[in-house]
Amino acid sequence: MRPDTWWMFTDPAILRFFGNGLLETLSLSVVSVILSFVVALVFALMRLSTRPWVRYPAVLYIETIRALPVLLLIVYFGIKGSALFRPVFGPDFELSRYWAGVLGLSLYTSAVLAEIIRAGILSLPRGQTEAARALGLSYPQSMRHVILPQALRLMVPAMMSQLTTVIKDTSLVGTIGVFELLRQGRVIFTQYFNPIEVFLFVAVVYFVICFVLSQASRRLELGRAPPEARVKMQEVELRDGAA
Amino acid sequence: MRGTLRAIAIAITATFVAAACGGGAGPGTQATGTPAATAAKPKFELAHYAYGIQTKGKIRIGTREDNIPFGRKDPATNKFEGFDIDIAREIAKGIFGNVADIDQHIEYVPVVSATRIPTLQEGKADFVIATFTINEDRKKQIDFSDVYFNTGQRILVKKDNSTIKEVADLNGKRVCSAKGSTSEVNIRREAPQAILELQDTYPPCLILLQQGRVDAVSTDETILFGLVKQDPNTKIVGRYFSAEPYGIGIKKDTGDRVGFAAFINSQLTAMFSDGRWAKIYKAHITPVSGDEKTKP
Amino acid sequence: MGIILEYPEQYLYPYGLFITLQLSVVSLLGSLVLGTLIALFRVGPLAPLRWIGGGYVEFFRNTPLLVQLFFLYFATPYVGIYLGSNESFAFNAAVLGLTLYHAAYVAEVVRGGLLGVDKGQIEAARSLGLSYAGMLRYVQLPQTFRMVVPPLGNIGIALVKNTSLAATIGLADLLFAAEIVESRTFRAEEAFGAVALLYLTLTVPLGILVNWLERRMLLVR
Repeated sequence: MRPDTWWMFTDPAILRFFGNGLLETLSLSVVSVILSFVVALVFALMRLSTRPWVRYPAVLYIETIRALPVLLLIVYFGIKGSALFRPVFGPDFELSRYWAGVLGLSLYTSAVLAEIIRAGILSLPRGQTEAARALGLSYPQSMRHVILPQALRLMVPAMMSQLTTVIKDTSLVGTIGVFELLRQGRVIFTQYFNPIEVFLFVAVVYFVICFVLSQASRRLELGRAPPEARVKMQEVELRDGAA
Repeated sequence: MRGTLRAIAIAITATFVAAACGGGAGPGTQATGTPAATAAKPKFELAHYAYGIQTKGKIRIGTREDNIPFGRKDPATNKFEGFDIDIAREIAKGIFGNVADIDQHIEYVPVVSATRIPTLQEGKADFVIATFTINEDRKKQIDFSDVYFNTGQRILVKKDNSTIKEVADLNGKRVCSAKGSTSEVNIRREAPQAILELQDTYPPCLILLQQGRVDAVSTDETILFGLVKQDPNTKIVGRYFSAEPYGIGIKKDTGDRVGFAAFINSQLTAMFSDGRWAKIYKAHITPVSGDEKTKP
Repeated sequence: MGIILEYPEQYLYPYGLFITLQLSVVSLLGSLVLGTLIALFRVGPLAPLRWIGGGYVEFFRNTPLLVQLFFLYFATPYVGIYLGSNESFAFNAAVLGLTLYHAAYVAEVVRGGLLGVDKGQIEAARSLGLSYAGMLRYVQLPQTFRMVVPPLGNIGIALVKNTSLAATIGLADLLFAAEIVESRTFRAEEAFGAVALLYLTLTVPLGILVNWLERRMLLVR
């Protein structure tokens, strides 16, 4: 009924075309994860604050964003991203589709990572902070030198599994016209009419990357995280990661 | 207590430092183009919209990526090609001069039927050239150039189909077309009982037709020519049941698009008279339609 | 799908909500059943079934849901599989995609729950004279149940959010409604804001419930 097009994956030009998409996918994920990690750190610390006017904005941000579909955020920024920033950066400002995608992904991922970081900090015995303070360290100093390094180490596996989620989520950015891996696949299958070959190939590429990453994150022991932290990590992985 | 605030301040500073690093790690493809280094660069008035484009070194053109013969991204070269693309390139040359690789000054913004008007209104593209039919409803929202292509709507069915011959036969049948296109509206008007299956673009419609999930695909004849070329097991039937004059879409001028529509029209007129339009027609349309034309 | 687009704009939202709810409920039930089955494969005594279960979980967890949905929507008929009539095709493809994907997560949770009960307790229960069924009823299942319910709730929340991907294969769900209304009115804030609120009314109460269950579970332990 339809000619076999498996041969196309031996054509260097086609592979280069997919390669361009893969680079875009990886670039999107790495940039989004770095950006969201920084934002997440801020919100995690804010949420741990004892002052309600610092804590509640963070609670609102985190709980609202992670309760929304990430595709909704991406599509919204894809349509409205530029207009949103024009009051700040002037009437000529253009948010490219790439950065609209990064924004959507980072907004979502930052809320999720904030929860992971917070769980890590909370899982450390209270004695840690008290000991650091007793040694004469200020709160920021004890955070910076004692608490955060330990908490982040505890959280490495959870963050790596979040990275695989972000890689999978970059496929959604194709819907706003960024030519990442899946979108390049769409371009090909609508011209060669070979969705079977294209989607299997694309799935295998995603699988190899994500499988390696998730195996690596599983190898890293969770350490002796107390049950509260483990429950929280699993919650985040399932509720916000399964996308 | 004061400690908390300082911790936040430190964290925020860290945010900006790392955000700057993160920004630096962005992909090379996003960089703005280098200014053209040609002597033949046309001159524009300061207030002219094309002056701004020339200064930025980049024109953003909304077009389709999978619509043979008008606009598609070629997987073999990773470049855009087609009738609409070549017309757009000629207009870009009118701004940046006759440079060898005009694509270095063009950013292609992929659009589908439904996103053409938002793309213009949100200022995401300087113009949209994407089999864009001029009509009164759309003119209320955006501006159009003069007509640069004329076609009309017909019907695509499988070769062995003998029940669908005219548009009225679509009543009660499953028909695929593009979301937000004039084709969709025309089918609703001419065959109100047709069951519409709407996709973003036309190639997925062809896939649904091949799989027997729809009985027909209906849109502009020239687009159907492109689909027949891709699947010879299909045929085009019926007379034109609409006229589809294509124009280039531009955002309405509210003082921010000064002289742009007139500039595009002058470029089109020049293309009609000096044979460039005919050449582009011959390169892209003739292989699927079989005819030759010198102007729309 | 054609009919839906003819609906006046005010009906798009309730209809979209209805589709989103339908997708969520049907896919959740499907993935609970399929996921439990795969979990049983994975803890069972038959090595080939364990491999199949393991391969299934790894494959579906490590590929994007959108790729799976596109495959089901565009590619299945080429291999001779028709996911229902032409009218129900998109809905069935979406349900199947969501089910297959989330079943992989359910399987891991249920497997953890089955393996999580202390062997000593099971043996102690048997040596106290409880029958196998009695042991299951009074010792193992209550603990497994307590362990799996909150994580399954979390998967449910993820599933509700992920139904939004169905809009990409042309199902008129909540997100689709937002896109259509935006493309007609150009008022993105209202179009998307309303849909965001609707998603929040689905996911936030669920989230609060699951967090409550999580806390309760910890206390009981």
